[in-house]
Amino acid sequence: MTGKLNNRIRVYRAEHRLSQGDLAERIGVTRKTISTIEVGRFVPSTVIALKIARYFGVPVEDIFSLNDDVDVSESTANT
Amino acid sequence: MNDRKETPTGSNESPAQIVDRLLQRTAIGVSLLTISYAMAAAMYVISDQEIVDLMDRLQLVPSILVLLIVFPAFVKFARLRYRQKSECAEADGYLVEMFKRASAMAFSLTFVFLIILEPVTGKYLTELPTPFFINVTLAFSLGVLSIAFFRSVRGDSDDESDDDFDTELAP
Repeated sequence: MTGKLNNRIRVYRAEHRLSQGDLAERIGVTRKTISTIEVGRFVPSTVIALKIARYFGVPVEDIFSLNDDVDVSESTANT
Repeated sequence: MNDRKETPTGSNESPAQIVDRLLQRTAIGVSLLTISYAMAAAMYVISDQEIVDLMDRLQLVPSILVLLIVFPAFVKFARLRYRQKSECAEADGYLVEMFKRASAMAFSLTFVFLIILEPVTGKYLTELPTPFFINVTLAFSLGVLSIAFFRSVRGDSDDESDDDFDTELAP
């Protein structure tokens, strides 16, 4: 659970042709919040993560994932 | 894409931006209060009466600046709250989180500071009055809060490059 949080916000923004400011406005946060989440400087709250996922119409785990997700799934498979 | 729309807040700022502005200005206000309390504490240890009088007068400056800087942002925030914008209560953006972390650090370090101060005052600083220690503690606590906040948000201008994909992808 200590893995760094990866995100694919930039990818989804590119698909939807949205700037950071546009996305921020649509989910009710500031552009700084979006930019710091994108670069991994700020781990968003569950509410913000869910708002972003809902806006793009995808499950939250499609956008956010832990770095050690592979390790976790491998260890689960081995048990 | 970046055209700002008039919002229900009466300006072109979003509720999140108003909350962030209030936090930034509060942090600046806290820095100024740190100076004010530090000056108040210093007045107890400075023996030169002229300097003390000067500091007494100068102490008003940070207080006035705090009012001028924080009050307008607070009024905007209060108006937003009055118009029942629940976004204010739900605000959990980057600056809010940084401010919470800075506050937690200030509380912890103030606690440690008081624990250290307690035996020191019992042995060495017995002649100084209680207001001196109150001012020192407030200056320390507010100083840690503002330094921790500004340290955590410094250099964020690097993250500010907005990606306008419409512009980038335009033929």
